[in-house]
Amino acid sequence: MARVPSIIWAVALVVVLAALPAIVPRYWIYFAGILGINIIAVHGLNIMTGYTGLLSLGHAAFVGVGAYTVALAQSKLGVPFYLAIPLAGLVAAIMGIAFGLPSLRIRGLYLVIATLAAQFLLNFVFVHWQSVTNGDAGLTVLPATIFGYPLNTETRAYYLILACDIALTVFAINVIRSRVGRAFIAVRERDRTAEVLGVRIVWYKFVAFALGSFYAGVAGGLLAYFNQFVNPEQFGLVLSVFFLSAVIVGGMGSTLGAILGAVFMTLLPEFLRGGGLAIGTAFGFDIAAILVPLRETIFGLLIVGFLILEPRGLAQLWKRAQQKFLTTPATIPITLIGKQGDNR
Amino acid sequence: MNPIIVFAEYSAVGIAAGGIYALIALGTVVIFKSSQTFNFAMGEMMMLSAYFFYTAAVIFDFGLLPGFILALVGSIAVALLIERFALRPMLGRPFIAIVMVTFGIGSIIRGLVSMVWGPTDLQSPAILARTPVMIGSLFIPGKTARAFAVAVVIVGGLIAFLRYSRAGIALRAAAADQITAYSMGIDVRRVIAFTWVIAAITGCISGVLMANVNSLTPNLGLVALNVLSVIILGGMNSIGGVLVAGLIIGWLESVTGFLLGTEFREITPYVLALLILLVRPTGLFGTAEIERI
Amino acid sequence: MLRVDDIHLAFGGVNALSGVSVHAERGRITSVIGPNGAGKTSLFNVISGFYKPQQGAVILDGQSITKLRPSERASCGMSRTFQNIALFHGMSVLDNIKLGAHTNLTSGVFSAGFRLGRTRREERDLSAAIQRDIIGLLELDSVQHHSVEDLPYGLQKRVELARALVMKPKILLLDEPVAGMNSEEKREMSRFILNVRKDWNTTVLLIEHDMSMVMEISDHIVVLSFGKPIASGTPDQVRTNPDVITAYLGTGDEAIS
Repeated sequence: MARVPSIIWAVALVVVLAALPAIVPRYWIYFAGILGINIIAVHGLNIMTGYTGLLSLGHAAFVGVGAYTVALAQSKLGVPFYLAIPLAGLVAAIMGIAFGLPSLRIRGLYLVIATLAAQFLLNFVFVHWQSVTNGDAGLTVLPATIFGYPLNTETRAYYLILACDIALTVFAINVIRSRVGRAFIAVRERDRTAEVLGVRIVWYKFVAFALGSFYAGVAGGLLAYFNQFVNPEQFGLVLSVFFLSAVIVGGMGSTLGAILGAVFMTLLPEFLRGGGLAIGTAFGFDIAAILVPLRETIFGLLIVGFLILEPRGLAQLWKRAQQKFLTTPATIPITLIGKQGDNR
Repeated sequence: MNPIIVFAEYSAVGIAAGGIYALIALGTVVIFKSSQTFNFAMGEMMMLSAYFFYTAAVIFDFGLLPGFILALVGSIAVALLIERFALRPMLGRPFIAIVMVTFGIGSIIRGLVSMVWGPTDLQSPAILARTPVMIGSLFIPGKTARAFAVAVVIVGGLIAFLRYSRAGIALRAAAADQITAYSMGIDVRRVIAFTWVIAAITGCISGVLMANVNSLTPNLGLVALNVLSVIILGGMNSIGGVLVAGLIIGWLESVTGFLLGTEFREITPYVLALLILLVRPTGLFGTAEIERI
Repeated sequence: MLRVDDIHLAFGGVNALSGVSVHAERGRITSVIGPNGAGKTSLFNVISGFYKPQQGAVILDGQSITKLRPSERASCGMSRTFQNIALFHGMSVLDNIKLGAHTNLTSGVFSAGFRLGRTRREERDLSAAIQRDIIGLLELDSVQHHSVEDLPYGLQKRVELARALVMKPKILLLDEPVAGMNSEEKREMSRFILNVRKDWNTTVLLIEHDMSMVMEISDHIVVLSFGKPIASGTPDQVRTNPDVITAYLGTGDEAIS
């Protein structure tokens, strides 16, 4: 129905995003880069948790695996970025499978525990495998280069991230509207019914977990190039909570939701900081000191609040707003249509 | 010193530390039994209790016992608020949604505590004597040994209570079959709230003990995430199982620290959890879930 | 077509099925009836592969499928609906129906993600087939783009039937397709089932409580009571069988209809 307009919208959005560095200040571009990376990671978690119902509390660790893969592949093997990024995804996917496989066979809590174990174990490796990861001090990463042209400014790296975002978003949309995506949702909603219809449950859990971890790894790889630095602190439990809240706030099982959630959650701390500093100055106390715990509190509040009040997240609010302003056939009350169908 | 003696000493210290884990696990299991809710905020509830105790006993200087009672009341109130306003609206919702809610609550509490009390270490008042306890020639730090003794008493008391009291019987009925229990006149909602009270009590006691043995920081609760692996190890259906598992985890942490270095302590429970998942997914004492369509 | 041979199934010490045999002949509608707790749904779960019987065999089209997993049985051409509606929320009616064709498609993640020719073709052909064969047959055109959870009960049942049909099954298992429907909806559903049989020559195995419907559309009926087969035959034979009347009415002598 709304096919053609949505493609036009998408093209317009890409044009605006491509022109962004010419329009907005430099600091914003740094921000847009981080946002783009977060979107990829959230897509990954959304595929696992949102679409397939596999809760992961260790997503940040898989992002970390991707980042370290890039740092090491570059410094030890001299791998160029166009190979290093897919490699980062691949290594993260393999790690994901290694941690997920034993518990994917069983339902319930076990996968949650396995991902939590991944979070702590991988972080432990980042910190303590000194000879490879250089411990807490971390590793430096040289910027990505295309044909000798270094992506050494935020603007240049931004374009790399933008390209990856477009590619991976399209990929995610394509997977979801295919046989594979339908199987994901079926596994999430009613796994036994899915099985009767011929869906191999364990296989699709496995595919979703590997794919989600792949996205995490790519996000981590891009992050390494973007920050030109990798250390364990970046990939703690708080980041996993951050990704989880982005998926929930955006709307689980919606690709648009993943993007909205990532945008919202990335911008929120900035607004908090801006607003907090303003209030702090006005009332004369130092709000900067409590920003980190404030973030943690608000992430938690958003998770709980959205799950209770609007489990389908911002994507649903967006849809509702759209229906309010655009009169589409979908706004005709369902009962009416049902009756017409019955009476024929 | 004789390495065997040293090993035995580490073992004893570890088992003693495991007593607190068993206490935390007990609180988690009773909630799980009543409502199939896995409470990821248990560690944070425990940490918050320790701060309540600190506030009442040190900041307001009410003394140790009144301070503890106030902390207990505060903990129970918080637990009931969580149950009423965060978990009850989630009844009937998918399992992972409920897990995420408790996880979010943990995050809220951690952040709030950091904001209110600050991120730095606080010195909890000494409630346990430091004088070491000697078992034969084994030397066990006083606080750890006494914390273990307290944990044993509390766990024993709670188990007796769950076994013989009306409330305990109602809990077991609800755990076995919610709908039948409901039709027998058991108010399942009250049973669920009641298990949150038990969790608040075990959390409060373990939090106060833990803050006394270690120090008091907003990350105190993260230590209790170890209990998750305890729960798996024990299997979620068996109270006896998780108690034993708690002791085993404590022992393993201590022994691994001794054999491999202290930095390995923190990951021991998770390595163990993964190994158990590979070998025996229903845990040591749990039973496999039989599915019906 | 589908033959169930001498199934024995016990849970713990309780015998759910003892020595049940059913033969669903090609292109016919075979019904399994019986009072509550007679083991009808257990029988379906054995046929689907959820329960492993202690004894007995399930044979589809001459081949034993007794050892296959549920998903493998679907690939052999078996499909089913559920007593309680088991649609996938969060998907449109059309996507729910498409899921029924899962085993007929082959796309993996890469083909799907890059939208390669194979996926493109498969999805296009599937959509065309659904529009051509299913949507019209089951009169779902006005609701195909709606979310399943928004549909009224009767329509949801119909979507479930559509989902089971889209794979063009050799054998279609229907678990109480008209339960909870009003009489008009029941008539419609009977008509749909008969149309499916007529148009596609699909073999149907049906569990149903509603006697008037069973008597009206079945070619052959098997009656279970307490896990044992007590009678079988045409609707007229079963209707007048004294054992059946006893099983249903205790000791009555009133005919069922």
